[in-house]
Amino acid sequence: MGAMGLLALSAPLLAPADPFALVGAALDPPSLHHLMGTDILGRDLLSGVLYGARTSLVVAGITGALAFIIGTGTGLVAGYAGGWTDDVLMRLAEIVQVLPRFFFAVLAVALFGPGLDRIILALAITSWPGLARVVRAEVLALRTQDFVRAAEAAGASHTRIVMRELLPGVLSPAFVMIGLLLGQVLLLEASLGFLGLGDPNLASWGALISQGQPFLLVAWWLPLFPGLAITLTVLGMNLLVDAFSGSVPT
Amino acid sequence: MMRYLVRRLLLVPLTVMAIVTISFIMIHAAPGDPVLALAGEHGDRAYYEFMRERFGFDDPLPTRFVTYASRVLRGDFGNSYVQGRSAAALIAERVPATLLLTASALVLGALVSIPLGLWTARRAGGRWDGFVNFFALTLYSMPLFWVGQMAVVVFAARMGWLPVEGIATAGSDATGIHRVTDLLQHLALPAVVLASHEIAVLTRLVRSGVAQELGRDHVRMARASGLSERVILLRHALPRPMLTVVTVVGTRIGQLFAGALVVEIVFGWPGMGRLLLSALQARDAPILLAFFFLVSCSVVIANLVADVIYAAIDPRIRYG
Repeated sequence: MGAMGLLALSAPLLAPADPFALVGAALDPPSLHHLMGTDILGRDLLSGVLYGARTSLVVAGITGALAFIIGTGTGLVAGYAGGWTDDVLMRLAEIVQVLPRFFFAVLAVALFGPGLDRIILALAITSWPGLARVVRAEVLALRTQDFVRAAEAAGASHTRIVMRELLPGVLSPAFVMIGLLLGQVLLLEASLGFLGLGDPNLASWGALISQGQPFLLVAWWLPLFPGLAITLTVLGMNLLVDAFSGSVPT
Repeated sequence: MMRYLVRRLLLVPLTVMAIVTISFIMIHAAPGDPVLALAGEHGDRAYYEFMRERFGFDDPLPTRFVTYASRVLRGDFGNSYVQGRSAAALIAERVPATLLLTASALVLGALVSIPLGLWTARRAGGRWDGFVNFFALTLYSMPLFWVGQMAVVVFAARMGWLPVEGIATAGSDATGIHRVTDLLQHLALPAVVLASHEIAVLTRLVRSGVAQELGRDHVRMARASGLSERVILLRHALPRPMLTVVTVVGTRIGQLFAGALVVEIVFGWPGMGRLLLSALQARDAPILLAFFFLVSCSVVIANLVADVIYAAIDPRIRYG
């Protein structure tokens, strides 16, 4: 995962060519010259994969950050405030949780046109409920503990109690949820790219794989390398989560 | 339990209305005239007039919402401009092929993951347990459409074992049993590919659930009373984790459909996947809105069914 991040950052240094430049013969198999081969227009696949890492990691990173803010915020408020605030927020979470993320993102791109910003927003808007519920449950457990009671008795403000006493306690389950989420977002972003919904001006792993679809029988390397890149990144994320929690992805 | 079920049922219309509202907001938030958002940019004047009138786009906003909601709730999402037919009818004729694929994948998923989960749970902490766990995580980390492409490259193209595309051999006039075997041959690869994520998720669920159960008192009691290992596993350790499996399958219906559509595109399976792809390329909004609404509603129904099954088969649960 970290290695993939480094590769993405250093894409301009490492990539042998611009991912959209025509640099060789069409459909050249992997060789010393083009380590991952070339596509139908003679573009270097290795460069595409390296630049694709940037797109995937940007989408996953920003989506994860937004979902973290919305989800943790909602969970903290719902759990701490209780009463009707809790009821309203949790019903809202239940409704959003029903929305199929993939189809919502597809609809958003179709209505608002292609672009990473829409994809990120659509994925973030539909990704927070699971996190909110976990955080809320954690807050409910923490609230009755002595150190929170003590802060309340000492007359600490609500903001202070939420930010200083409760937030640190919910961070580790929240990070586990975000880790699981990042894996899913990477796969979703790839699916959207595969359907041609990504930004046409940016290299993306999903788009690279879909460009290989018509040539499956003659150019196996076209889908192989971008697919391996996705798998390794998502697997790295999932192993990290697994080591951290031993929880089950759902 | 009745009270719980009634409360649960009441939530269904509320959620469906929320889904309708979200579609409505999306159409109006899109840049430009909402009728363009709903009908796409490639229509002609007559088509826009037709859609405008059908969905009441000349009325004030509240009336418009009521018109829109009542149309959608009756299954009317407007006509596809590209195909000139009702979006709902276009989707409906693709449903059987997709259902055949998803149902096969679910059955396959259950058939592999339950035995595999039981087998690894008995070896919890061992070498095989670690291997299966890693294997499941790896499967779960692969994009389904890529698994599909690799399956085509290896099994269909290189080895020539199975057909690469479609639901039946083109031009074949086989009947009876030959037609069924032909269908099964075409179904095999896409169904296995689609099942791979279900297998990954469910195996880990069954494994961790059963391993936990094996350490509990009621299983120790069963073992102490000399029951066979088989009875202990199936009668005493498996039932409770199966409840989680039912719930998780219910919540994964949306992901299952999303996976089915991309796998269909790879294998040229004549279900909803290709319709989705052509609708995307033409920005055919009625069809995409219909997809969003129908899949959301399937998730609502699947969750409801899973909850009812959960409540019905678990005697310990009494929802207040």
